[in-house]
Amino acid sequence: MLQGMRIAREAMYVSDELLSPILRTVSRPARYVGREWNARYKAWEATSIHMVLAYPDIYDIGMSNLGLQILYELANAIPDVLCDRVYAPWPDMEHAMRQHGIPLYGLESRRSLAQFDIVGFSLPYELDCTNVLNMLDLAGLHPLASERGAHAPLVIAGGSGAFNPEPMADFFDLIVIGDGEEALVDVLDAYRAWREEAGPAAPRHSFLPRAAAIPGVYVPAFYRARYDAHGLLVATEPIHPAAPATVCRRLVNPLPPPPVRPPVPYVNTVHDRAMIEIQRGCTQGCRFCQAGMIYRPVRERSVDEIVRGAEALIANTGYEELGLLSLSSTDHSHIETIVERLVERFREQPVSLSLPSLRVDSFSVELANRIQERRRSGLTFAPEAGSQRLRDTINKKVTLADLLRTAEAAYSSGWHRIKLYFMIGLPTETVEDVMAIGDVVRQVLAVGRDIIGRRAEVAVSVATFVPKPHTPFQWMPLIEESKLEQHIAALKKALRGKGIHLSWHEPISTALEAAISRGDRRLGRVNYRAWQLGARFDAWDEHFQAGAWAQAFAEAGLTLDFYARRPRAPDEVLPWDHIDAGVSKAFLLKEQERALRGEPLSDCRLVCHGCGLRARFQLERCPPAPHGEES
Amino acid sequence: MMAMAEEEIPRRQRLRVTYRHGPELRYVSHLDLMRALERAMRRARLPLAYSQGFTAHPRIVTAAPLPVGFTSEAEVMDIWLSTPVSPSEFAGRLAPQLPVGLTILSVEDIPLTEPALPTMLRQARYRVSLPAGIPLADVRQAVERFLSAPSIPRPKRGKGPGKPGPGSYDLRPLVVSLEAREGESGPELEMVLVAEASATGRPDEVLDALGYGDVPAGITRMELIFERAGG
Repeated sequence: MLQGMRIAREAMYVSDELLSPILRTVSRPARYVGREWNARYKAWEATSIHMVLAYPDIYDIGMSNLGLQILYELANAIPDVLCDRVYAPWPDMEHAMRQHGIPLYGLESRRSLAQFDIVGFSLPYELDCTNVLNMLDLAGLHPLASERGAHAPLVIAGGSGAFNPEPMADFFDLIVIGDGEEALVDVLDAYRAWREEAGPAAPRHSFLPRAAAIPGVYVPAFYRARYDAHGLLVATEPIHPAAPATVCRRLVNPLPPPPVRPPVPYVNTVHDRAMIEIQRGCTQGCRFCQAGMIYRPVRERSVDEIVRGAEALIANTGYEELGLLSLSSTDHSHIETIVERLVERFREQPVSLSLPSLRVDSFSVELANRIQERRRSGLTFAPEAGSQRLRDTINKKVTLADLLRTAEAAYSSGWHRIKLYFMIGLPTETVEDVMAIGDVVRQVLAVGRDIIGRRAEVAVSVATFVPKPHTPFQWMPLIEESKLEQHIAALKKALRGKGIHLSWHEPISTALEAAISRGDRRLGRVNYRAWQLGARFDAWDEHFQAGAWAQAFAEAGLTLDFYARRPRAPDEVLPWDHIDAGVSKAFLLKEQERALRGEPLSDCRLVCHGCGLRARFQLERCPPAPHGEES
Repeated sequence: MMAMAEEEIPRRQRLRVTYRHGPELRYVSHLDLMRALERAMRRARLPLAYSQGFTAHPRIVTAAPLPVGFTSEAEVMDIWLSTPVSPSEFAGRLAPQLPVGLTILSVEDIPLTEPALPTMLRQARYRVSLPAGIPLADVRQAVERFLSAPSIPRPKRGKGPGKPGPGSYDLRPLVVSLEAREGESGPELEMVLVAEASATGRPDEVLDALGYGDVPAGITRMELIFERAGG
């Protein structure tokens, strides 16, 4: 059994010679070789802190992760820090590595992970957990923090998945909550000071009290979770004097300069393009959206910084496409100027621009027209719900009139295809709401037919709603299986017809995602056991092992439904209550109440609704004043 | 107003670039390497001639794709530029943008009207290094047997390694020359194979036919042999 092939924890340099018998036999071998343009090579002996950033999925996905690009560039800019990268090997490579006794290694240094001082995992998604454990095991490190030796590397984590860190609490020494740019530097500074004072032989755990003192750093070992007789959480409380009662996320403001020299992959990765974050955060306040809550407040980059950043990015990479990233791009106060200047700047090169996350209005269509002179794939919008009632409930501020006006603008300017995103399983959803999706789609198609005849198309993409922590819907249950089946059947029926293309794919792991995202510390045992039983790449349908998870839950005496499908009482202690995202629980509760009354809430750029952020971070203005000069 | 017809940016110059695809990038596929070269040329701000179709792409034509896992001492491609750039300036601007494993060996100005590069290709010379443990005498014997065979039927390759396709082909006529000798770190095979649009000999096929299909071998394309352009 694969698990039994232990990887030795020696210092190993994984040379090309060592790898070549394996690389001949695996798919897309270039992923394991590195040597990309802009990969950073620093001398091991000349640097005093050796860190490796680890992404718990394959290279093809990890290379497009902006967070990793930001930290890689930032950390390598520090003279005495060497920052390497590693991604999860695909099962064929993992098997070959275990057979040949090759440990997981950093791409640049080719050194086994166990030689590093710090291994930093990005946690973008709840279902990456078993990949984390597998990567640790492949590195010859015990997945459980308590079992790793005193001189094992410090294993840390950060990212959006860290906002409910409890299911991963058993595996990490410390977890960074919130914006990583300044927090990571603080951790590295504290690490350096600790090494200097405590000496190279100091055991790993002696660093943790210093770490706990850093704002935004959560040390799971310094907390204990208590449960009552019914299995409900009573508290997650500190058991160490250095640990604060709650850990407040880090907020970086203004945003530091964007990364402009990311490694450029050889293989085709998921979003193979240059990326620039034009703003972080969002003021729309959609109630299902975790990102909108945990990345508040919105912080815009200035037009000059964006244009300069874009120029540097293109000069340093040679990419043919540049993506302007944010949660809601058209909300940037200077989006028109940004687009104008970039279109002008890159007219000759040529560099094509992409502007994802469009608001539903004709302004967005105008911008898209300016950017995409050739009407390629189509325009994408996200109404999310079919009826106005349900859209008001989830606070998606789109009316049918908006959508039809937008469709008209799109089809009139040469677009043939409009793609619409919807969710199913939203709180209070009825079959009527689902059938309303059909009405909406047919009306959009009719607009298209009027303008360009039978060439008009509407593509509909549907995903199941999963309630997330730190959102107004964090108390809601995941939709029941039978209700989901009923709603999907109704949807399919409502969307039959020429010109309408439905893409509905229910990943078999949705219920697991729902359980882990709002799970507590007890799920650590379940994660670990599932991994031991062979679970990995759980987000990939072809690899998801329902049997391993079922057994893992059963052995732990827990059920998936307890976490995924149980509605939580407003006064229930939640496993992430000790993590402060800046938005108050009182606000989230009020939002849930407004949702149940079907009341939307306006964009908070217009008027502050008192979510708690201003008080928490002492913001005079919210959103904070845009950084730098505008043009 | 954007013209909707498929216009092309005028191609003012054609350069033939010979480059080395080194062991550091052995596992980068041909298509991926083309993309990497294109990006390097963009970083160098070289005036590539782009088509203005649905997706703009530069006009780059390679002589023959190099299979994954092979290295090459002399790959050849033609590039079209919209503004003339001297070969030495081209090479000088591109060199600092190239990753380790990619080296420009020569840049030559080629008449725009010359036939397409792949149509001029006739043969390719490969060097294959075998592990030291294999005795040279055995390899020589295998080569003799191979060369004296009137025909060597082989199953056609299907999609993907190890998957047979429909039908078979005769490998023998695709091998122009084949010899074994002592190399730096073990026995070496040097072979010249037919390389044309209608039929291409593959060195890994020759290896397999010799009985060394499962042996870890280093395959390097040493030279592409073209028909000389008229005059």
